Amino acid sequence: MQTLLYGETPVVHTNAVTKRNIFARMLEGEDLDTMMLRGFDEGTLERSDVLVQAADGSDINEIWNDIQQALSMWNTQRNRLVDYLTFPVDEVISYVGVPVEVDFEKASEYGKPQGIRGSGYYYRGYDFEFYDLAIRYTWMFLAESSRQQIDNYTNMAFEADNRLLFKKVMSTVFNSANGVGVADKNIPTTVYKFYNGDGEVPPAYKNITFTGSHTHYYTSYSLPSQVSNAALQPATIDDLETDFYNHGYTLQNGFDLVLWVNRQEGLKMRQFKVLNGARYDFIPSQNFGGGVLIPFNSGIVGRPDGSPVDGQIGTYGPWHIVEEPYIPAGYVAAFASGGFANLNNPVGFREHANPAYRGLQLVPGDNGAYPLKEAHYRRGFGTGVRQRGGGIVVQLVSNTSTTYTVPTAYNA
Amino acid sequence: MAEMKEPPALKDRNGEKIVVFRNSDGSFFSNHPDYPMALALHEQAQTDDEVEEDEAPTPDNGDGQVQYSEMKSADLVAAAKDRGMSVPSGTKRSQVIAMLEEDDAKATEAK
Repeated sequence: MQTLLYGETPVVHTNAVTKRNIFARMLEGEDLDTMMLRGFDEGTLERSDVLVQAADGSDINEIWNDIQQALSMWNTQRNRLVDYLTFPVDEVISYVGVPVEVDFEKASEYGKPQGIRGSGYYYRGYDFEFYDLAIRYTWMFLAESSRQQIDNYTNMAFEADNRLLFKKVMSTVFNSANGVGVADKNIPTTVYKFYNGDGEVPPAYKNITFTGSHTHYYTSYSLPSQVSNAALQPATIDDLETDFYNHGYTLQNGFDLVLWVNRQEGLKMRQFKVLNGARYDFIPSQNFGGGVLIPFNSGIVGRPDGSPVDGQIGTYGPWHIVEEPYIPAGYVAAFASGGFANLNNPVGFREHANPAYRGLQLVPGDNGAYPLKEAHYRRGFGTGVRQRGGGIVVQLVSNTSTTYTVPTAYNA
Repeated sequence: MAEMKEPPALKDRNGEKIVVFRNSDGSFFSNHPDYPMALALHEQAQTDDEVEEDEAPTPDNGDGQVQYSEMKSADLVAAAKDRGMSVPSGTKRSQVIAMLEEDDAKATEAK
C-alpha cells in the first residue's frame, strides 16, 4: 500500500475505477493493484470511493434521473378514479357556471324585453397545502442497497402520494363542513362542500326550485323513501337518481352517474334485481362475474351501456357502480361526472399557479453532487367543491335519524 | 352504530329549517350562518323551561345592585350551574333563589 509522506501531494485521478470500467482497463493492460490503490488508499477522496454506485453497480445519479422521469410520467397519469371526480384548477377562486333557465315574456309595445341575467355563476374557493415526505438515504445506505431497494422506496413514496390525494378528495366529499381557504393577499375564502344547508339556494331547474336548506348529505331515512335499514336498499339509490335529475345532472345533459360503495354495499348491490322489487337490474361488468349470454347471431344481450369507469363492478340503471375500500362501510357517495378531468366534475383539484410547483416532486438534498441523498418528496395541492349539486353522500341508518354523521376517517 | 342524540330542530330568521350535522365524536355543527344564534335562543328557551315560575321577577329598584329577585329565571339557573349546583327540571324559581342565597351564606361563613 502506498503511503503519503508529509508534504507529498496526493494524486487526483480523473478517470475513476468503477465496476463498469475495471475489466476494460485490465484488458488494456492496466495493473489491478495499481487501480485498487486509489481513493482512500492514496489519501484522495474520489467519486468512486464514496457514492457513485449502489451495491449492484447502478449509478446513483442515473437512479436520480430515472426517478425524475418516473415522476414526470406519474404526474401526467394521476389516479384515474380521482380524475373522474375532479377538475384541475390553478386559481384560488373559480367562477363556476351552473346551468340556469331564462324565460321569454310577452312583448309590450314599448319594446323593452327583460334582459338575460347572468345569475348562473357562483364563486368557489379552494384550500391549498404543501405536503412533504423525506426520504433520507445515507451514503452508506446507498452504497449497500441495490437498485431494486431504492426503487421500492420510490414506489412507496408514489403510493403515499396516491393515498394522500385520494384521502384529501374523499375528505372533501364526506365532510359536510365548509372550510376556509386563503385567497390573494391572505383574504380568507369559503371552501364549499356539496349543498349542505348553508343558505345558498341551488338554481332552479325547469319547474323545480330549491331552498337554502337544501342538502346533499343525507341519512337513508332523511331521503324521500325513508329507509331505516343498515343494509343498502334500491329505494335509496333511486332517490339519489331523482335528486340528480332534479338538478339537471342527467345522461342527456352529458353527465355520467357514478356510485362509489364499499365492498359491503357492493355485495348487497349485486342482489338488486327487478324481480326482487328494484327499479333496475344490477348488471355485473366484465371480470366481475358478468355472465352475459350471447345467443347465436343475436348480438350481445344485457351488456352495461357506456364506457366503464375505472374500478366499475357493474351498472345499475344509469349508475356506474364502483367498489372502493376507501369508501367507509355504511356510506355511499354518488357523483354526476362529466368524464376524466372534465370541467363539469364536482370537485376542483387546485395546484400551484406556478407550474414548477405542480405535481409530485423529488426535491434534491443539500449535496449537489448526489441529489438523491437527503432528498424529499413534495406535493402541493388543495381541493374544493365546484359543482355543489354534483355529489350526494348518504349514511345508511337502521333508525329514524335524519342527522348525517361525518365518518371518522374523514372528520379531520 | 350506537343510538346517538338528535340535534334540536332549529329555524333560521326566515323560518326555514337549519340543517345540522353530527361529527364522529357526537357533537353537532351546521354551516348555516344563523345556527349559533338559533342554538343560543334554543338553549335559552330550554333553560327557561327548566324552572317553574312560581313568582315573577321584581322590577329593578335602581339601587345599582342586582338582587336575585330581580334576575330572570334563566340567569338564576345559569348562576346556579356556574357554582356547580344541580337544577333539575321543574325546580321552582323561589327554590333556585333559596339555593343561591344559602350558597352565599356558606361562602360568607367560610371567610
